[in-house]
Amino acid sequence: MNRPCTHQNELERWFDGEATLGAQLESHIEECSSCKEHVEFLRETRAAIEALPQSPEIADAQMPAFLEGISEGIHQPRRRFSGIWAMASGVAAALIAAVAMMSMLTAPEAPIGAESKVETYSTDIEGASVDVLGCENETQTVWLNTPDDREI
Amino acid sequence: MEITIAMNEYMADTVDKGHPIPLREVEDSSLVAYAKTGDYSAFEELVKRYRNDVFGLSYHYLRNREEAWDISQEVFIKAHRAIAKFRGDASFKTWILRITANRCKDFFKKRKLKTVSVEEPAQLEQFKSPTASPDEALASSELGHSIKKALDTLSEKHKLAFVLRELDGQSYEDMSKIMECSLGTVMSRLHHARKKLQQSLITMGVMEDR
Repeated sequence: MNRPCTHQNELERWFDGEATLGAQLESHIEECSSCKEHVEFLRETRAAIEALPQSPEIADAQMPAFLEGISEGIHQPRRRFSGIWAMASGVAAALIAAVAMMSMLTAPEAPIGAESKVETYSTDIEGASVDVLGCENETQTVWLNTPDDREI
Repeated sequence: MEITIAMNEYMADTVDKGHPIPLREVEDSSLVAYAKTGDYSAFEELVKRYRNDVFGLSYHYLRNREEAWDISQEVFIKAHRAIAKFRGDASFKTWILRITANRCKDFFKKRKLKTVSVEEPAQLEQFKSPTASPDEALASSELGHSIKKALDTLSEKHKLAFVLRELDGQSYEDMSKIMECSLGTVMSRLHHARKKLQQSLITMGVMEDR
């Protein structure tokens, strides 16, 4: 492309019917290859757009459906408090996160898994046994081991 | 049959509801005044009058009929809610097109749509130019479709300027009201839109680099 000429804005105003083509601009277009090419581009573009099929329209037969949609929208209660609800949801989420963080920070130092096996008992069922696990906080957990290695 | 009944009801509704003259003969400013008092039939007449301006702009902008339909309905719903604030500084048409332009821009911002052409191939076949030869007509039609595709490469502001001028045929003054900017900005955006579009068409290989 040629370097754009400073007259192109003026040229477009004339092309768009917003200004008349003065003698000065007319003679400039004759001399300026950049402006000549720009006019050609503008004409080519407009001709191509005008040649396109007409845009679709809302026909009279479609109007009842179109109006019905509008009427429904108008009579639908406005979501006036949507902003407040969004804010409330945000606050609730922040609170939940804060509570979760607090509970993590204030949890007992001994992890739940820090259990040691105290005793193991065999049972009458073949392959089944009972494990008693002791925790540091003096609680005990009882595990029943079944023959197929499923812990109950 | 159902359509006929609905149409009759529609026509009956819009023709008269205690108005001294049929609403279709009433000026926009009076219809707006009636609508402000809660006269829904007056508002419907405005919808009837400007539906295709709104739909056309939405369609040119979105290039999708269903979305243009939905957006157009939303525009009129918004207009109904805001009509009390309409001062009449600009015409009702300019005002409603401003709402349309803003709604279309919001739609793009939210969805960040990658639009695809929905022009049916049948429309291309239907194309006939009374002056151009079939080859010229096809070339011009192809360029037209390429222009519409190339529009997606423009920024929203540039796209709106180009659509309003080239596809909707709006004057600079109306464009400045719809786009809510000065005449100088309108000209600048339009110029840049054209330049960028030209560059895109060259890149697409549908226009020569002169």
